[in-house]
Amino acid sequence: MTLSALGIFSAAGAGGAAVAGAYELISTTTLGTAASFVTFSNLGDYASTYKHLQIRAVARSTRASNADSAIGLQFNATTSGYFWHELQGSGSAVSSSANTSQTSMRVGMLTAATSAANAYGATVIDLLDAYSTTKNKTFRSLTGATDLNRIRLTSGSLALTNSVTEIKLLDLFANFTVGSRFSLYGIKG
Amino acid sequence: MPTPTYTPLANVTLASTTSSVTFGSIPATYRDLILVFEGTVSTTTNVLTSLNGDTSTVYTRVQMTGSGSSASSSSGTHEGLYTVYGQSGERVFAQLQIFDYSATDKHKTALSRGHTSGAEVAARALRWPSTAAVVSLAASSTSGTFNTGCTFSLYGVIA
Repeated sequence: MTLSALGIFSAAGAGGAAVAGAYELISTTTLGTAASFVTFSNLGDYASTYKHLQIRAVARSTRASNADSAIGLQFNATTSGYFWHELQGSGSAVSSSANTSQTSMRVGMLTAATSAANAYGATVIDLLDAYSTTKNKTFRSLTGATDLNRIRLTSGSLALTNSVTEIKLLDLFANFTVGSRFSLYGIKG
Repeated sequence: MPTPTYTPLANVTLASTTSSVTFGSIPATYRDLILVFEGTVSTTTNVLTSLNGDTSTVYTRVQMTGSGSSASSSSGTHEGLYTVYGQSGERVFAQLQIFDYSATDKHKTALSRGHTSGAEVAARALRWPSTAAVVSLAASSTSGTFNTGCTFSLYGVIA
């Protein structure tokens, strides 16, 4: 079966995903110069609009002599108190680990200098109930790169009940390369 | 100004069995594509999603799976993005996310989450080592067919 003209079907009922208008792009940064971090600011402006936030990233690191680097996330400029658990597949085994009291939450993986050219890590991060003022902040992510032979699920938390105002994504070892892309979405609730 | 997205591009419900469903003429309007599959298959199979008609064995995969009694991880190469494993008589579900599908300076990276009732839950990272913009994709069953009633939904996400 072949559908050759997608526009014809664009009005067909979709089902199974977000209701139209419930998922919105807030901001995208595609780097024109390498940078050690990307910040989404003034997020308090959307407190009455969205319930959850999602970040989609396709990124690579300038980290020299290594195939990989990692994305760290900081919430409202908080630089301590991040906890998380990971479940990771390495291509040959599955393992789990935990980290406590970290300076950022490790949410994603990046390809780097010795990875194949044009190969990027992909990451989807969910910040659940990000505007709540009564709940500690919780995060989850799915990230992977076949060039690194790794796929990882992460969930974590920060013992802070403040509503979100800023999200900072950091390359934990070097700089995000030119072309790395980070997009922030709001989900209504 | 926030912009609504996660736009439905096409939705197919099979009225008869078939081994492949192709979405063509995908516009470059969006940044990511999300394919959602749900249904049943006629026999044990791999569901692969090939891009731009490329069915050579160049698509890489790394995955972790849980079978209900153990967890495992493996990697390999395939004739398409490995979307989900299917077994006859079981419900099969997958969400395949293809990032920056129109970029001409990036290989196409994808993430998938799949589930086959009675068999496994899985997460996968995938890559098509090509910088070509994706204009078509085909979800195919490597053995047997997709059964009547299977649904394939394709969404576009701007960025």
